[in-house]
Amino acid sequence: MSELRTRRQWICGAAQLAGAGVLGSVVGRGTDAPAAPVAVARCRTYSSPELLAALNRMFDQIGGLGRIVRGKTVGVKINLTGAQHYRLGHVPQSETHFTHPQVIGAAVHLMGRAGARRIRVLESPWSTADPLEEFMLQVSWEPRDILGAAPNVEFENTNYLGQARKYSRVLVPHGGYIFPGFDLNHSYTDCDAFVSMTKLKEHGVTGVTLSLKNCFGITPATIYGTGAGEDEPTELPRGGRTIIHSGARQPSRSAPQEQDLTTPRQAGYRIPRVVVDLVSVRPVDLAIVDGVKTMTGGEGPWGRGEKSAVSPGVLVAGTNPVNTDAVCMALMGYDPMAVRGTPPFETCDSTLALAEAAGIGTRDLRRIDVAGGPIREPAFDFAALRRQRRNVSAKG
Amino acid sequence: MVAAKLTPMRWPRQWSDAALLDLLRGTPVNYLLVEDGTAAGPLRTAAESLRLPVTIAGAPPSGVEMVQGDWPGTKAMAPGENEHMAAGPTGEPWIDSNGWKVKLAEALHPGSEIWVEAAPAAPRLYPESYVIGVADASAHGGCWVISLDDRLAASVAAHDTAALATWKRVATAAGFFKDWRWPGMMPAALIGVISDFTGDNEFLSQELLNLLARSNQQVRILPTGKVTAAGMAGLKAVIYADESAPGATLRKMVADFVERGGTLVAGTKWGHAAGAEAGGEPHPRYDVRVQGQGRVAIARKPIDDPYLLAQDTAVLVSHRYDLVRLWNGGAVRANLSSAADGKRGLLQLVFYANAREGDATVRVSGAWRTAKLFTLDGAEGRDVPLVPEKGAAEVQLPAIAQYAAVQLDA
Repeated sequence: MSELRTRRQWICGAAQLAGAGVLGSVVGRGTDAPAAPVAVARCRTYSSPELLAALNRMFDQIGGLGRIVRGKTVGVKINLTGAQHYRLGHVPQSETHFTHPQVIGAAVHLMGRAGARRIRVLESPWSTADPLEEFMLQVSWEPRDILGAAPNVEFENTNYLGQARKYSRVLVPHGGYIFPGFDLNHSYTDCDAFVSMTKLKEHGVTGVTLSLKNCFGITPATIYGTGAGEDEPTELPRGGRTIIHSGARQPSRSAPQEQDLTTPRQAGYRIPRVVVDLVSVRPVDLAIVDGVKTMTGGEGPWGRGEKSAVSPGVLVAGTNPVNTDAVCMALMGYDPMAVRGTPPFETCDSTLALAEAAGIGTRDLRRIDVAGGPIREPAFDFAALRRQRRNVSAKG
Repeated sequence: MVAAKLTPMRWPRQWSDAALLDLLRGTPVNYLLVEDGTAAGPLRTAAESLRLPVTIAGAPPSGVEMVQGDWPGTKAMAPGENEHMAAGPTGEPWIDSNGWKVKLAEALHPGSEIWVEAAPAAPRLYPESYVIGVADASAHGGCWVISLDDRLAASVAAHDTAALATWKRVATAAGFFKDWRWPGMMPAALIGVISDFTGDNEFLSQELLNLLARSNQQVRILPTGKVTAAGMAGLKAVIYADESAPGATLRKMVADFVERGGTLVAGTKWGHAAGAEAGGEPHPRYDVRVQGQGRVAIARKPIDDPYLLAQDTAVLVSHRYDLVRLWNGGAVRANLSSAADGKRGLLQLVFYANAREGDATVRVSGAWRTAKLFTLDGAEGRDVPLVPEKGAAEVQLPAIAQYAAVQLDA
């Protein structure tokens, strides 16, 4: 683990960010951004007994699941990034880049036991309006295992209008870095508690993808996708979220448009900001990060560079997504206080820094109570592997 | 599926010297198509001395149904361009394949041999593309009319080393299918498509076959006038793809199929479906009702989008019942068949990209215990890793070019 930064270093870092125009008008809110406990547990396998015991203990350590879910409709955004046809070698997606179904099932079971009234498992799978169950079946999951894990469990594909009559308009409280608001599938406003349940991964554009970045996928591709309608949303989603990545065009005119078209049209600038805008409109009440098995070198098997399936054997949970992601970064061997130009943010802004500046949560580990003790070493040293890859790449 | 009795080749225009027949020695080519009768005279004489029949192109022998196909491959495919096909969380590349045309011709002309002829088309002209042509037709039960582009034909005639190597690869691939190891295997299918495939129904029904194949759905083609109860046996669903209402006999047969647990997917012309509404969330485009042990899904609006029809059908049936699932297959088509006793399966895979990254994994429905891989080099099969699953098996394939046959044993 890198040495913890001093407050002075943080202020210098924030000043650098502000000087570079990274934090924009919201800079300054980050210094007193909220801090909440984050639980870390060793978990070597996806066996139900081990997962249930670990998650149960972790939820207790962060203040109990009941206070988050009891009597509520809970929306659980899982991570099923990319098309269903891609694997890293022969390894199933759930062991590399999808939230593992056993983790979903175990968490859903515990939410049910903690009194959740209704649990809705949500995701916007690649370029389809098919039911989420059908996407899961195509990667050889058994959706009934999740549906049966607790009473009143449902799925919804949020990549399009879904079961509602209209999209839900949500506005960014701090005004927004890129978008002042979004039109989303109703599921993200029709839930009383929102859970971001994702995988511990690096990301080709944003450095890391954790509970914050997972929320990028709440945007419907019918409005924000490659095939989105110019004026109105399309009926069916087509393609990825190129609009947000590149800024080459605007979302359907029926939705809120970008505030400033002179900002950089670079994914490394845009995606972190849009993620923070999204987390601002749909606050995360519980972040759960599956690092039992995952991959290095990217968020999925696609793209350049060496990738490998790895087993950090760790689960992370917290009620604040910035705090949780900061702990995750430390467990990956990265400094959560890192800024643009330093690993893993060599070519992008730090989503965590932007979220902190927006007042969502602190990334300063000194202010975060890590249940299970301080992080003395990475659970798996992604950072070391990254250095090796970059050295090889530089020599090559 | 039976081995093709004939391996036809279109005699290149540039090959004016009948002595070039020597190039066919040791190859499986045993039938020649020539472009015009006058040039064919000396060739015919020389060919007959080799017991090689010659006929005018466009007049195939009796018992052969000729399909005008496409030069198979991916869009904008050229050497060196496909290394990045898997480089993004994107959808699959578009593939031009003649597989569905072969199956349609087989269904419309049962008992005939199906020959596929397509003119070599740039930019897909490189050595592997000829092999893909052979594999694409043969893996679906047809036979590719070997056809060389002008440049390759001239180079082969000039005994250019690289051209001869390409020619040898084509001949080896054709030989693999001529010496077919798996006679008597029956095509596996989950979905039946009922149509007369002509006139007003041609576009929707034929494009539907193309798009179902694109998603590697295993399909049985049921020409409207030839549908029988036995012909629908083993299917999970049938699509009635014609614009006109069905006749009473067909309606009754399909109703019986549904009563026994099948699913009917049909357009508005099928008419009102009785029965209770199916449970769950209402389908956005279909009125789904329960009849007996099965379901009837009638579109609320006339169906004019074959892509959506193919997608909706796969979901109405449910991917739970997929016979084949592929990961990292890239531009691939899968064709599954099985022995009558169900103890052996054969999965044929055609890879249409010039180069592939990543090793494919394929999940095949069935209680398979071993998998053996055969490739076009004709070598004996080799065991490949198989991971049993509930009611299926995952087979881990190494990087393979153009074609693989995976023999599965229970």
